[in-house]
Amino acid sequence: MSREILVALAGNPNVGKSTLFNLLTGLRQHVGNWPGKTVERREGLCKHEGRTLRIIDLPGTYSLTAYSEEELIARDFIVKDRPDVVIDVVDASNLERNLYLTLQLLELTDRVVVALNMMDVAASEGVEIDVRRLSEILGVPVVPIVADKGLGVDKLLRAAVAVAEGEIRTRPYKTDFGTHIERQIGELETLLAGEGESLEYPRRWFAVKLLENDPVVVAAAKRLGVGMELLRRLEELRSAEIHHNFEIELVDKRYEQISRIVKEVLRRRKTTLGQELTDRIDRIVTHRIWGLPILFGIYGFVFWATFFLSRPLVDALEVFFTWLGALLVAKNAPAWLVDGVVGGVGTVLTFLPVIAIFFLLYAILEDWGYMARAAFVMDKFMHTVGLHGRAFLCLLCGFGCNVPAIMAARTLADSREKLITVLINPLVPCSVRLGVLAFITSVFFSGVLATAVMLSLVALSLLLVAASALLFRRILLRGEHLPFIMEMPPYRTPTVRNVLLYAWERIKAFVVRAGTLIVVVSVLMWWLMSTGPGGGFFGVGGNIPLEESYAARLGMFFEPLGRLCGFDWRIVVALMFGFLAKELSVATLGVLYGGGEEALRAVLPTVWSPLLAYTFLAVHMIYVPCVATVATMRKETNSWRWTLFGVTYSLVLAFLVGLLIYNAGRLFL
Amino acid sequence: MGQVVPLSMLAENEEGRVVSVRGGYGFVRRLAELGLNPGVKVKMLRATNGGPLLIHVRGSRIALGRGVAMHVLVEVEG
Repeated sequence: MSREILVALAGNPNVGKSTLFNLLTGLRQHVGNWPGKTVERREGLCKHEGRTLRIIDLPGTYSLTAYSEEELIARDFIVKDRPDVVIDVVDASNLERNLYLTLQLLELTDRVVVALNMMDVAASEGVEIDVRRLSEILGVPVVPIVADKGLGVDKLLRAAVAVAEGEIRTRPYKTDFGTHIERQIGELETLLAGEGESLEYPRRWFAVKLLENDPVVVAAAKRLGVGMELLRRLEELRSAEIHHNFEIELVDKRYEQISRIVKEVLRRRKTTLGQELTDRIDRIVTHRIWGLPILFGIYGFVFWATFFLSRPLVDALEVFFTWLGALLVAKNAPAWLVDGVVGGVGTVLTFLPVIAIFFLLYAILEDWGYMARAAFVMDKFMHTVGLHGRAFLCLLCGFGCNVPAIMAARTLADSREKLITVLINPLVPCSVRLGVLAFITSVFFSGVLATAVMLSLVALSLLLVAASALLFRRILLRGEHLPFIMEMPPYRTPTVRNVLLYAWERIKAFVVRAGTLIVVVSVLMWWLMSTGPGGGFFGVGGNIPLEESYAARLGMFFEPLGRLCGFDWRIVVALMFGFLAKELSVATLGVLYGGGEEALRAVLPTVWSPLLAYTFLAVHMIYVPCVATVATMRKETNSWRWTLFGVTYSLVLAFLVGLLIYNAGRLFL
Repeated sequence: MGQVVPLSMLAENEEGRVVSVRGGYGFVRRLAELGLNPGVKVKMLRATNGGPLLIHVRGSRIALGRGVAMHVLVEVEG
């Protein structure tokens, strides 16, 4: 039988689920998003004894309620896609908390295999688990593994296949909610029986969720034939037992039974908590005085390594593409290929060293466990703008480049917070924009004034970042407070496989999904620049003066708007090209004012006032991020709507700021 | 019988037993899912000034915002 077996990996966060997934699938994995969601979806193939296993890594969750996107995704997948087997990855060193999800999985499906991971850690902490007894109680196979070292994995797969193919009959543990609640469950189940086979969900699970007042299940109940009757009965139960809080009671009942199970299968040889090393490191890195300097030290190193170590590679790539362009020109290659395609591909590739180094280091810190501590240390400060500590690194990284910064936002826990972090990130001035800032400032200002100009503009950006964060929070979270609750995993040695696969996946995703868009836009922009109403490449062949191109026409069309900020069409065109890559705005100014970039130093002061220069810089910092950033926003939000919203927002914001600075300046100067 | 105080008042290395968790059902359930429900033993690992707290509960470390910890009442254990 060569049918593909569908396997879902479920489990709490930080239990080594990704490690197991990487081990099983290696490079045969694909990372995307769940349809219509910002939540990451990882899928891969694994061969085992002649069979093909398609493995879906469900989001790490503590429970299966309807209150977080991740939990809904996980349970919907189990109910609707009906995997042949669910592998529940459980941290053996933290059995009690992990079994909470296990019991819920067993309520939902009988095709479960428990992978008892980190048996080595548990053993080192003096924890002994009677695996056979645990398996007897849960009624499903329990296989001890050490995913880091690949131990026990063959046995796990064999058990999973056996369950999937029905060779092993499971008798999943049924949580006993006590006679009182069981009676209510029984009643609801009887009503549901009237629905026959058309009920998508397991009957008992559906009844339990109704008692828990699960919004998705209640909505599903309304659509049932027996819906009216069901909901009326539910209402009666609730009003008759006003002193009962079913939701909390069900949670307590689950834990009661977990305590009993743990008592039966687990023996602790030592009375200490174990994990002395983790506690010792934590005492240092979360220290009230040393915590912050350590964080800045580590982040500073990541920043330095990412943007300075990558420099020679980026430069080499740039040299290579210039050379390739020249070679193609010499061979009479068409201009659209040289300037459009090769230029676009060059842009994409020059991002790769930065992304690679950043995510290698990021993966090491994440795998090791430091990222959670950094979030803890930064939480107090990020709180003032209503974001959690984790968003800090994303913002910091933005000073180097917004592309990896936005890609890093996917590790944030709350999907709305993720969206806010993505949307405000372009307002953090990246190194290229800071470069343009430094160049133009040096043309117009000197000494203390130059420093003041630069600092004021960076401060303005940061102010807008904070203000936008608060504004988006109001809109997206409607003032709702996100309670800060986060697990801090024990420190672990990062595995080479995890780190490399992580960085590789980020690079691949950028090239495939953002890269295509960047190349398309590059070609389009090239066409606008080299073609005009009077002819151009497609008509006559060869380039035309930039002044006669469609790009210039567009600039002239928008000039009336620009005028409000003191901009003529040249500046508008320069800003348009800045969309391609922010440094191109300076190059374009060079072309339009004649004489190229070098002559700008002499020409600009004769055509711009210092006020205009300042206004230009402010607008240049804020308006639409470069195409690579926009493409990454699209990739990470998985939505054109939000991407367009982000672009429009920054455009409007830039325009308003420019309007204000220019006109206030004229009034007072 | 120890004194009953909000979890945020526990000093570092002090231990306590959760007596009750106040707040909306969603909030209470979320805490419970992470293992923080009445009856469970907690130990304060790190209490920063005005910042979040780090506690030990059911074999794992959980970081909590101060606002969250104000809603959890614990009985201090010697």
